[in-house]
Amino acid sequence: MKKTFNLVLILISLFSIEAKSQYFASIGNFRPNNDLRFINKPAASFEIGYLSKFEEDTPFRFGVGGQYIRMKPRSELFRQVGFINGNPYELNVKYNSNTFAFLNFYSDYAFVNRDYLNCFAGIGIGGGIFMSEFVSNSIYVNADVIDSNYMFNLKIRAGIEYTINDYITLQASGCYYGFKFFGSSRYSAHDFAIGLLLNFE
Amino acid sequence: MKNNIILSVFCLLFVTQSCKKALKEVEDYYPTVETTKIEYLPDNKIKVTGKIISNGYSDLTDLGFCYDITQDAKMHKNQLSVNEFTKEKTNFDGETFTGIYENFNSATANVYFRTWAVNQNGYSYGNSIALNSLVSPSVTVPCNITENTYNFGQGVRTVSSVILSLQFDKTIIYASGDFGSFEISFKNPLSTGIYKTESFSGGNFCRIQFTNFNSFTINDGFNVYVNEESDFYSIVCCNATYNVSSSSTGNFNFNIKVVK
Repeated sequence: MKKTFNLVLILISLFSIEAKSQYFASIGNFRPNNDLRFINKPAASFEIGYLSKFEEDTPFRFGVGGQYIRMKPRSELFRQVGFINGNPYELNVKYNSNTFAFLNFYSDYAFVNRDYLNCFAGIGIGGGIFMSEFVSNSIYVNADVIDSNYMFNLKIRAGIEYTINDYITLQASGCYYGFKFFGSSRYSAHDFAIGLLLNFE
Repeated sequence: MKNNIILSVFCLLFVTQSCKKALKEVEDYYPTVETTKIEYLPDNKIKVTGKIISNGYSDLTDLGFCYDITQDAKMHKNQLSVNEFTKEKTNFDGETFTGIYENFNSATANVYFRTWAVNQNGYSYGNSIALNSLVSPSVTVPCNITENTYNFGQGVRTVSSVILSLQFDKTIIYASGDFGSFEISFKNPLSTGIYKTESFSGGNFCRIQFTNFNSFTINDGFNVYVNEESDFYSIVCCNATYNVSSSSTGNFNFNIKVVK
């Protein structure tokens, strides 16, 4: 844990030595895919962070952001099963919420790099925690559970930025997420987000 | 410039659309099955047939039948899992599957069967079918004995009284006439079929006993023909024997109609 914290500090320090930088805040429509979508409704995603700025002669930038997503279930009850000696029995699960909280380290490339307009593609890698609150109910078990799991995540994103003036840039982006939970499943999701970037020297 | 904008639009589409489309309704993720029929088989067996309408979003992992005294039987109640079928076939939309309950014995007048199926997303049930909704194929009686008569070697007698008694684990019919009385015990459930007489009282089949004289019991292995109709049973024994003493035997037959 301490190593991870140190790594984050080092990365933030590296980004801070850039001459021009941006703070950003974005809000997105997070849409889980496949089995994650079976349980969860699309939800709002929130992210705040820090990015270096594309320069005329440097179409690359780096950054870090913290993201938070709290999803609500699609159904009142999910009909799942438990097993005793290989024989299934009803295990009905009521989810209260499923929450992602994770950190992304970004690397973007601007293939259109103008003073007022940037089109970019990039990746973000990071990790965080997935927390699930649910009540499971069966003839054998009645439990109120808060389950958490660490995970890695990979983001592939592309977007457009329009600089209004020296201080403000607007951003629209689309993103594909891949999540790998420790010791278990892989999930994916995508989102559309809009963001506000505050430029400073 | 134009090419770059086209490229950026393409990238946006790629990152947002490269995934398996989610289903609109949660119910669509679950498998769909139906219980198509239940049948009586010889030797107290019940055959249940189900049909898979859809696997749902993922492959089926388990499949089977259950029954209970209520219409919403849960899968753990008298569970019959069709594992072999599931293992051999991982994708079988639209196919039927069957299961056989052996030594079926219900202590109650009626039970309900239904199918269940499990995939990686969850479970679902098929419809329920009541056991008493079955109309069994009738059995052919190979003799012609007048209805509501009996004869145990003293000539043909008329049955004047028939009482049906449903007990915890058996059905007993008390019959009496102007010359003697007898009772017939069946292990539940009583339904259309050919039963074998069995003198041992704990047997699984049919026991016939005279109750007015010295409690003679019909010897083992004779056929008793039962035809179940909606509101009565027709029970016929063509020709059975009983031992009066170690050296003497008698013959017995009857044809009685018992209102349910």
